[in-house]
Amino acid sequence: MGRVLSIQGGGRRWWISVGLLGLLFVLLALVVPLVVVVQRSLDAGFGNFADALASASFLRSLGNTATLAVSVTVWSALIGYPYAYAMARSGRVLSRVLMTALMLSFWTSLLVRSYAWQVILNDTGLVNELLLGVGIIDEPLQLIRTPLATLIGMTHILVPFTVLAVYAQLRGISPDLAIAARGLGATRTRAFWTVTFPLSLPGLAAGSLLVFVLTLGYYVTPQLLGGAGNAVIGQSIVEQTNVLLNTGVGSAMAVLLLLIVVLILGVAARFLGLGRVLGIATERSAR
Amino acid sequence: MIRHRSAAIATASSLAALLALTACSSDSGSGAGDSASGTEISGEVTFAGYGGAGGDSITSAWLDPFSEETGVDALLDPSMDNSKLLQMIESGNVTWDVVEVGLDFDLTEANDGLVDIDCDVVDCAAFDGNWEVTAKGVPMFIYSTTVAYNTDLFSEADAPQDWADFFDTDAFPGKRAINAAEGFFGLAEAALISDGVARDELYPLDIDRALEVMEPVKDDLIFISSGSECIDLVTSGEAAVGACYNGRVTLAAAEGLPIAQSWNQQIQSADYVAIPEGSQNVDAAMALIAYITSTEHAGDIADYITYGPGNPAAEVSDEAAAEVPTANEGEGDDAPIVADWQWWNENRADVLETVSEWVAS
Repeated sequence: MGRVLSIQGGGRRWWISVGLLGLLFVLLALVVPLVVVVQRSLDAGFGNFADALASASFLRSLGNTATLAVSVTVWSALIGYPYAYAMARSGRVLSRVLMTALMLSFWTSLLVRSYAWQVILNDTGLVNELLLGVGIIDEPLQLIRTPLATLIGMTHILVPFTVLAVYAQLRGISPDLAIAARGLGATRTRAFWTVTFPLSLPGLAAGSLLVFVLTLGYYVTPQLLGGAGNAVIGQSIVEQTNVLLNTGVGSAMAVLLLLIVVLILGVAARFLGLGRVLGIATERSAR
Repeated sequence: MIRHRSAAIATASSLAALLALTACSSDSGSGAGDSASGTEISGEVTFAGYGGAGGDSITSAWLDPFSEETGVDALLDPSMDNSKLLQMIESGNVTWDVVEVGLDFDLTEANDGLVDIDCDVVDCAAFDGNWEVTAKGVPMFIYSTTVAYNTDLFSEADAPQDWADFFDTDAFPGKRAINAAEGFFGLAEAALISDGVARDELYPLDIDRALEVMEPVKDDLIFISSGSECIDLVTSGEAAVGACYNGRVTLAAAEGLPIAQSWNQQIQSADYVAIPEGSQNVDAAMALIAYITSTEHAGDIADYITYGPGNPAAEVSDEAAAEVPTANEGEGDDAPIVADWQWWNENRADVLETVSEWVAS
């Protein structure tokens, strides 16, 4: 940081103009559309918000989305943490294999991955054929078009965010600390829970926050894997804008979603220390 | 090059226009579809449609021949989307000239965003069937939702034939694939008709009664949101019967998949063509609409895809007839079901709310 700030004269002006370009892009690509959406949502005063909040199916989709976001976050943490730990603490070969597997999945289009889960979870899909073939079940299990299918697909798609955030944090914690704890008489388990795990928490919090917020806005995967009875907010918004051509109410729903996200980020900032969570803290704000 | 070509075309078409004016000034209707319908047209028209097999078929059946005949380049933009269209019209930055719209788009006089259909150019009088020309739109093609079934599970002789059979899981066991994303548009009508409601007493639709018809078999209904799901479910046998789009059934059957359909009580829908206010080439756009919907050419689409012509006077080739909705209409109780789209446009939001609550409960 210090070095960048000490750049003098022409160099500094160059950095400022680059920064301004970025600012311009954010302004055009984020602020302008946002203003339009907010404007649309208010085109009938607060009537659009009243309509949105009076719709039982919208409220239901809010509930579905919240449940989904919490469970995807929890499962991502449960699956992602051990994975990240193995990646950070194992030997070079295993670490690379784990990283490659993660990246392959991360870089595959989410559309492809959602369709793949469709094939796996269908009544005539891999899982059911296998269970039927072995004789564990007589009738295919209802997997596709259930909240469970959405949960599985979403967790698969978002778990890399948890893994990468935790991995980056763990890499910054010296293994010597755990070794020192063991040298002082702690068991392996105790050394992990009292030394390594608390130090890795900011990474877990950052990853979980990302997963949670990303889940709130997901549309494609719930659409492909979830049933008609478990719509999420994204689907409610699409129904308003594309089926009912009611951009006002659709925009109001989008603004409500945005407010919820801002609220969550606000709470995270207050109680978790947002700067630390997002890894953008300066020395002072982290204290 | 292009400039020379269009100049030559302009001369040619104005000559043709002169000829047409002098030759058949008393017969304005039948001139529709020719480039020479009175106004000189040139330049380019962009047809906004939906891509895929439908878009390819529209290009081959209508856009390319129209370009050839008139010299106006008719191009397909496959990125049509209702909300995008609305935004274009609102912002005044309109890049489309002819748009393919479903019946969920307001095509009445009240819609200021669309250009009035000019019945001096378009042969409006020919549309005397189920699908009428409205103030702002002309029926382009007709497709239908039919009772489709898995042929491994039912032989043709004892297959479900109509919507009463569709909702009768005792006589025709197995799950049903049905689209709930559009508030049972057309399907609510089908349920009510199967429950004995007379066709002329359908509206205002009693959605609650329609849902009561479906309630006993609700556990057997698989709620889908796309046409391809319907085919996947029925051909794999996950669903024994489905309310599928006729064209997709034909395609799947042609690939050797175990699926067939009954045409009785087919639920018809039409896609319309309209011109957004702000189009840069309204005259050519109107001429393209006249061409697409003319008695002479409307049926050409059936040679490429299993859609029926929107113009009831148009004919389809014998080879295509077996799989085209309009060529397989039943009579009496088996007649096509045509939803009242005006009623739906007024009530869609409420119906969607009711239906999605019922689906979720």
